Amino acid sequence: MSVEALSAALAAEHAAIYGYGVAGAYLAGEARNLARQAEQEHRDRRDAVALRIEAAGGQLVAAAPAYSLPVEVTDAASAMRLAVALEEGTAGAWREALGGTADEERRLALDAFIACAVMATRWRQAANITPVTVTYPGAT
Amino acid sequence: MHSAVSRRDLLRGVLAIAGLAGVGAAAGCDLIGGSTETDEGELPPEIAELLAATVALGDAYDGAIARAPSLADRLTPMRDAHRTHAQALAQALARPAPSTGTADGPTDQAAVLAALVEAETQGLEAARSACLVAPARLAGLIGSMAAARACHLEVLG
Repeated sequence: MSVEALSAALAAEHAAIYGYGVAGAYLAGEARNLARQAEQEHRDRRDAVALRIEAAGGQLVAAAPAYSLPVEVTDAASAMRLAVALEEGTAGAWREALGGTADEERRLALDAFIACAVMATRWRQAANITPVTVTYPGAT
Repeated sequence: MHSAVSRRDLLRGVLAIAGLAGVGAAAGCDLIGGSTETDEGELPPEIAELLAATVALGDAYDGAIARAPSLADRLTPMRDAHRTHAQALAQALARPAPSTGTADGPTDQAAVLAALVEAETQGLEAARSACLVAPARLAGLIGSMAAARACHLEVLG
């Protein structure tokens, strides 16, 4: 059960890392720094969850060579909208993992969920997207 | 006399069935169409406390908006989120939502915001702790409450 729950989150982290590779090319200055920070957080979480899955005897989901992205990126504004969508996407995947995990694995999922939700909020602030916060992070 | 004995035997039988159902619920079996989750009577105290504390968080925002109306645009969406969370949690626990009020506090804008940061910080920790001990069916909702509080802190701070 927990391998299944964590594998879906791992797949979402792979997709987010790919997405930041696309978004980052359109961003400069503060936004580019934020993209770098967010991408690194996704890489760290990907590695942490992969270790958990391996420790539980599960097979690792590999990254796909490309992902279809929820936002077409043509400029900085659309790159930031993509970043919001990527964070909401991983937040939702981690939220889903909560019910199928317990103890240390649930703690991992909860901390990841919170971190992605907060990063989505930071992107909304950076891009002046309102409302800045949502009632149910990861549900959009 | 004979009928009294019968009633006692009947009662004993009913208790035996109730006991069996209780064992089934505790083991997570869907024996009599109940929840497959932990018996509500065994809910960790953190979760019942979270419901009351969530209502209090909404009250803190209502008080803040009343005392510092210039902050209303910023604070109202966050107040609404806490009210929605309290209703959802009450429904999930099959309990009536505790009644809401308006909390007292400072009127100075900076002090109003500082008090809300304090309340959200405590609320985040309470929701995190409750999520870690929650039955599976409540983990997503309570985790969402924690995540929303962390986001509120991001924009309040």
